[in-house]
Amino acid sequence: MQSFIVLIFIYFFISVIKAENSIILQSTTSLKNSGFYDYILPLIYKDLGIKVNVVAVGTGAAIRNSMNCDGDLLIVHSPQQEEIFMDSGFSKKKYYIMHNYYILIGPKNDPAKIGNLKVKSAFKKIFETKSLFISRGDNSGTDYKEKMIWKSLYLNSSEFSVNWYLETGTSMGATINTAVGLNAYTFTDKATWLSFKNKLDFIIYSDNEDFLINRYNAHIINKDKCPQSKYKLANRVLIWLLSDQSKKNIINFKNKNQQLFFIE
Amino acid sequence: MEIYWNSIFTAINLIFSFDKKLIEVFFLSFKVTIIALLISCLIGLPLGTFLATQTFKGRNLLIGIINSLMSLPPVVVGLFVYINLSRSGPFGWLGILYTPTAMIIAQIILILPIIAGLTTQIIEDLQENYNDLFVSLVTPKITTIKAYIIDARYSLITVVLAGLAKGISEVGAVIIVGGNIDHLTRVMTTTITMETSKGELSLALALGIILLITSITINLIVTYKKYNIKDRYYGK
Repeated sequence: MQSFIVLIFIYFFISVIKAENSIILQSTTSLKNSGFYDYILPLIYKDLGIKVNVVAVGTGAAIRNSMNCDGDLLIVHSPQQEEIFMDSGFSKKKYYIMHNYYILIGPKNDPAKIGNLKVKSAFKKIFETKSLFISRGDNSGTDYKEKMIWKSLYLNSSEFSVNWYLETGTSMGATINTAVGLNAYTFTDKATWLSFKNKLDFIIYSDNEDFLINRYNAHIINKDKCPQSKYKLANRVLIWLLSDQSKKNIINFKNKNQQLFFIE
Repeated sequence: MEIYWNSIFTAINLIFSFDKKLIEVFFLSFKVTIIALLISCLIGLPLGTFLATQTFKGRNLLIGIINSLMSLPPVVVGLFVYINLSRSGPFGWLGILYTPTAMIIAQIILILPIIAGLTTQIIEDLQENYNDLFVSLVTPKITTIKAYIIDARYSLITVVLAGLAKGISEVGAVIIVGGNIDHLTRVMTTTITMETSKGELSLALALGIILLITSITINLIVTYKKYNIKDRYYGK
């Protein structure tokens, strides 16, 4: 029994020590769910010998975790929320990594008669016809963007009736599952959708509009705010991500022969 | 209906192809829960017996608190452990957030009240039968506690199994303090959550089936062993 207790303590110490040469990346879920990290992280490990541990949560949660200093690198996609993050001094600069587009998806039979409309008109149609719409409602980057679109139509989404506007408060994937289950429209990013498996008869309605651009930016957690952060390792990973070679890799990343991320 | 066949097929396929990722995730799940369970038992069984056999001021209050802690939602426990282990929290200097150690700590908080609370109840019932005997023999307290645990061992096995079930099935706490990091803190339940959010419903269900098969196996083995031993000691 005593030797067993000793073993447990040894185990605890090993777990404490072995965290060397690895960083924690706080990230938005879409990059993980689309398989992007499964593709890019082994390359980083091969070139730099740095193990990147990804914690994938919504943009809001990723930023909050980083403000608690629980990350060394942050990759998110919500300019306004990033602005606040930078203003509070947790990051000195944002680095553009890549982009793709937000999309509106919905059932093929198109209850709101959206057809080929642009996204703003499509949202208006959904509002006018009171067609079921599922929102993330979780303060993520996608959620923020969706609320912005409602705002641009001079509509206040917090006053919408639950008869047609539902907030799930969960991850993108869970929200799409809900939308598919209820035959409702929802707003998502293209990378998540293209790699999503439970699509049934859902199709993309609004796509590739400049207004819907979705930029993924990286931030290094400021070491003045978080002295424990592994600033140097995070910086090496960032430089790698911004290199020409890495840009080629990003462009070459495909799901079912469709390119998921683009670079300006 | 198709999804059921798909997931059963996927589950069988995963098991017999010795899928490397599955094995990794599966063993981490059990490693975390078993360690948490053992520590909880080391503390919880003696604590429960102590509470059941001793009378002191505030005893009922303590038992009440332990019993209410059983109903703690895992997410709340996860959040509590996260706040404490966060680099900005009081134990941030340990650097164990997003490691299996953090997950073990969270699970101990979840399992310990179950072990201690149920043990208290079982030993209390037992004590009514034996108390007079032990008092008349003037048995030392430590010996009494040992005797109770040994005598109640079969009921306590069920308590330990309940603790195991709570730990192995829980997702809310480990996903917050572990972060579901590939090759590091990804366990069965967090994988199921992740696959669901990727829309891989049959894979998620397949993992659930594997978890279920495992827990049925463990429970059956333990139950049979228990009755085997009981028969040997007490006859049929």
